[in-house]
Amino acid sequence: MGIAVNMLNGVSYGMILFIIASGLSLIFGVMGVLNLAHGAFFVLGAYIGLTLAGKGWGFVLAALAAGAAVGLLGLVLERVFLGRLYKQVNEQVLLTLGLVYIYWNAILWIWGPKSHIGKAPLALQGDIVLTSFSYPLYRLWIILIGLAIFAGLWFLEERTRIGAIMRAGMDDKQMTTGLGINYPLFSSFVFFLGAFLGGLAGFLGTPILGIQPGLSMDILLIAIIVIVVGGVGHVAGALLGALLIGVVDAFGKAYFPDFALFTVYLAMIVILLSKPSGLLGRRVNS
Amino acid sequence: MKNVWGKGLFLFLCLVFVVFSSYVSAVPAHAEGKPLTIGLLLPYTGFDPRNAPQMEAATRQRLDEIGWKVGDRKVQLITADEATDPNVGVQKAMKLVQQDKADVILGTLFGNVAIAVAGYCNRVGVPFAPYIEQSYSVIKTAPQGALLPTGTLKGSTYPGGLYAYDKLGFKTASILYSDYVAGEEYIGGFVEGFQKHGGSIVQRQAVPLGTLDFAPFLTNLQKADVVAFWFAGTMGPFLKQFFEFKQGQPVIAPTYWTIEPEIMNELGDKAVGVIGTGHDSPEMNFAKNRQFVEAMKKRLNGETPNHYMYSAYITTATYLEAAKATGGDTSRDKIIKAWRKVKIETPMGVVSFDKDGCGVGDLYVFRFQKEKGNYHWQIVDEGQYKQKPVRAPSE
Amino acid sequence: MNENAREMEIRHKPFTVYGAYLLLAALCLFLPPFLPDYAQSMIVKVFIYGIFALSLNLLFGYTGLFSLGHAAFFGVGAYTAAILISRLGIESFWPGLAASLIGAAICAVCFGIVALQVSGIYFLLVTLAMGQLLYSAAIKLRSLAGGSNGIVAIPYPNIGLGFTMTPGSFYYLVLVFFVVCVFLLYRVVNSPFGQILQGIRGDERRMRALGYNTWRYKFTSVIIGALFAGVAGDLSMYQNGFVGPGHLDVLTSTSVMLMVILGSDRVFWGPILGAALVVFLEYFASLYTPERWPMILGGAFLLSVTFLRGGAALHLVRLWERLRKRHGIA
Repeated sequence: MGIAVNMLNGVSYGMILFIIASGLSLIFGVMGVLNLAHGAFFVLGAYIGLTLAGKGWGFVLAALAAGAAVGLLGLVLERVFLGRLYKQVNEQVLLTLGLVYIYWNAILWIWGPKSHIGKAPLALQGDIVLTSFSYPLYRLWIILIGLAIFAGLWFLEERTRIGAIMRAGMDDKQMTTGLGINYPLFSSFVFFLGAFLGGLAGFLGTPILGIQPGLSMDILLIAIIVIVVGGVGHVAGALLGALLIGVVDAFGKAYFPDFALFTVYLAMIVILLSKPSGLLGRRVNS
Repeated sequence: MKNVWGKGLFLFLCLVFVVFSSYVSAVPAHAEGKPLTIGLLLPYTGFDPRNAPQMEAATRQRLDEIGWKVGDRKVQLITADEATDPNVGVQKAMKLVQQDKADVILGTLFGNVAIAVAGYCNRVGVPFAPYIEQSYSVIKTAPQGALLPTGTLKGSTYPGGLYAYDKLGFKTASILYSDYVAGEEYIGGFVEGFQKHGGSIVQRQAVPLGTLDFAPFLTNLQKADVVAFWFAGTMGPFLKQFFEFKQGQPVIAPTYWTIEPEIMNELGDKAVGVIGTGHDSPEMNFAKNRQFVEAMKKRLNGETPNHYMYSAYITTATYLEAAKATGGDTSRDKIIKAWRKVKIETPMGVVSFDKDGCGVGDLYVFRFQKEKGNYHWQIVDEGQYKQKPVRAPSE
Repeated sequence: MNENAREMEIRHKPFTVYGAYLLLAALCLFLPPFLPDYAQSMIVKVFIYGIFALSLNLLFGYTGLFSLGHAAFFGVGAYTAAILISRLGIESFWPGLAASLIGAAICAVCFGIVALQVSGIYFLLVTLAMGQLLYSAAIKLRSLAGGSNGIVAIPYPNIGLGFTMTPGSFYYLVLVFFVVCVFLLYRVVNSPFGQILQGIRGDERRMRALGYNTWRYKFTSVIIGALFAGVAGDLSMYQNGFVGPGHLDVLTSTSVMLMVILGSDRVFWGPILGAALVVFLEYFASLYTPERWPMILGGAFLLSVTFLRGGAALHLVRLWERLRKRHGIA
């Protein structure tokens, strides 16, 4: 029972990580921008979604609306600020860090310093009995939701024109515009989608993780570890990285609790030294 | 500055001024007519800035009650943000002491901030008392200048442990706690109480700070009569996940007042039966408490006071009482001596200090109940821990 | 890449620049006893973080190594000295300083060996991870390093000259260290070694083609940067009277990186300006809106990215050059 349940824990936690990391990976892998404010997107999505749910919006609607709201924010960001900082790492770091400070405090201002737990939709509440133990239903559902999102993103990547552009490594502005592609539209879309995923992950995670204002940095760090381990450029990389980190984390906490903090960082360092582009990634030019 | 002569001359000048300056920047004596200045450090921003405005309100409430005067000396309150970060806390304490000439530093919430500020206050000779319980090492860091009006971390959870073994008959316990100093001490008090008459701890799980997903720890729980836990800032989320994984398992939250009330209400029936310890309750029916609850409700738009506000209030009250006893003299030795001798009636009952500066008061065991459709924390055990120093026997 | 600012500094030293230095020196020497205590403390903080930021810029501005783990050296410097004082009872300032330097150097060797295997954004991520690893270790080491509380109640340094240090004399101690560190770092970046570092930042492949063992140069720059960061950490510990895991964590690393970028990584004294800007901004913002000051800080960074590309110091230097040319000042 121990192994099975820890696997389930790791995979369900990993799925939440996947959703948020996929957003980060998209923006980083395609646009070459490491968006340090991504953790704030997660927190924002959670708070917006919870507020909407509190006003009576259904779970699915609230989730999509929260994601869209954050996506719009990402879009505005890209248009107003990041668009001008093409390939200027210093300024990108400065900008996104500045935004973290602002978002974090704005969230505190609007929603107050309280933490919240989300409610899973009624259909998904409760436990189911699996062989010898009971397990919360929502965690199992998260696995399915995560896989659905993966399928959607994979389809986007492999079977659509936009995906083709992404896969061809279009972080090179000149090349893209030279080929007649509307670069501004493309980059806006990527940012929107990336931010959308971040916000969505935040809300979907609330029934399991709850939300508190101080989460922005923690979740960002884990998301970075995931995309480093899994690699950028392919959504499968984010999935693999997230599942690996989730499982390593779960087993680490269960069997080596004293070193739980270390295991994920060590994993990241090991990957960075042996295969810097990640397990399934292609190198990012920055 | 690039040649040897320049540097040599410069260094010589520095030496001269080192000697000179030690005369010039002596600590100024307290000027007559200067208002009694309370420097209040609270986490208005930072990782867990939950109760700062309320604690400030409770402080102001007490100051309003005494008319912002001690004897014929006016009192002023200057607040500063410690951002749940010891670095910032010490910097702000420095500002309060050096710039605002604070006579005393009150406040701080997190253990690491409290102890760093205690160390600084000790160095500059300013008295310090944190709001809410802190580790006994705060007193050890500043033996002549710090008091713990609401007691120590271990002391505040000790009765819960005793109760679990003696009254509820639990023989084995599995514990989980945030893996840092305050977490260890909070649960340590429970452990000491539980083990005192024979209880045994079958499992300890130290959970890294910042953990949000407790599933691995919950599924790893070994069989025990009761589960006890203490986490920094994530008591509510843990409890919620706990009930997802384990139904029907008795659970103790040694400091019930750290669980957000919204979350307890959301959990509702599931959470009935959870046990915790605390110093105070808005429901206790005696005059001082009723007045306090009413006054705070008025100040905060109907919000009932929580332990954070109670302890802010009584810490301020004991200090002001000490200042009254010295006739407004706030020099450290005099005020600390008077402070240690204070014994007053507060909304928490009668509060005084033991010989080391640790608070003496009442502790109760609470149980989360449902009564007439409303949820609340009900006192189930009183009389055992009345007027005792709020510190564990081992401290 | 605007090399002009740096080249201008190296080649001509107009009379007015010496004048400015002299004025600054006079202010630093003679003004403080007449300033209120707290203003003194702030200036001390600027000195300390100035050294810290300069040390980071050696890696970042000069060698092109974008490190988000620099706080590790700062924190290790503080911790080693604190451990010496509180756990080993060695109260004198100088062994503490030596321990800081040794601790920071050892840490730098580890970081260098691991992190320099990769470059660019991956280097950033490795340094981030290593910094966090150290931070987690500090929280874990309860008996040695005080765990999450850190080590507290550290008295002012005892430099062995037989008098007790006050905030006033501490100011002069820090001033001396500041001047010495700035001087040494200035010599380092203007030496042939420093030129090679800049070459590596510009185009590492070309430097390697020219026959330089770039890894060795990068490694050395990490160690030198770490040594100065360790000194800053040591002094910071004395100023605050404590050291905690927060000295090591990612927020400290990002904070000092922001100082470097804000002040300018292209001008030698840029990081010092950045440190001053952040310290004073933090103070004033926190005074007027204690709850909203992180927003003001974030806003300042956003403004600087939009209007002050390259850093404040760079713009000041350019402004000064324009004024000089226009008015024909020597």
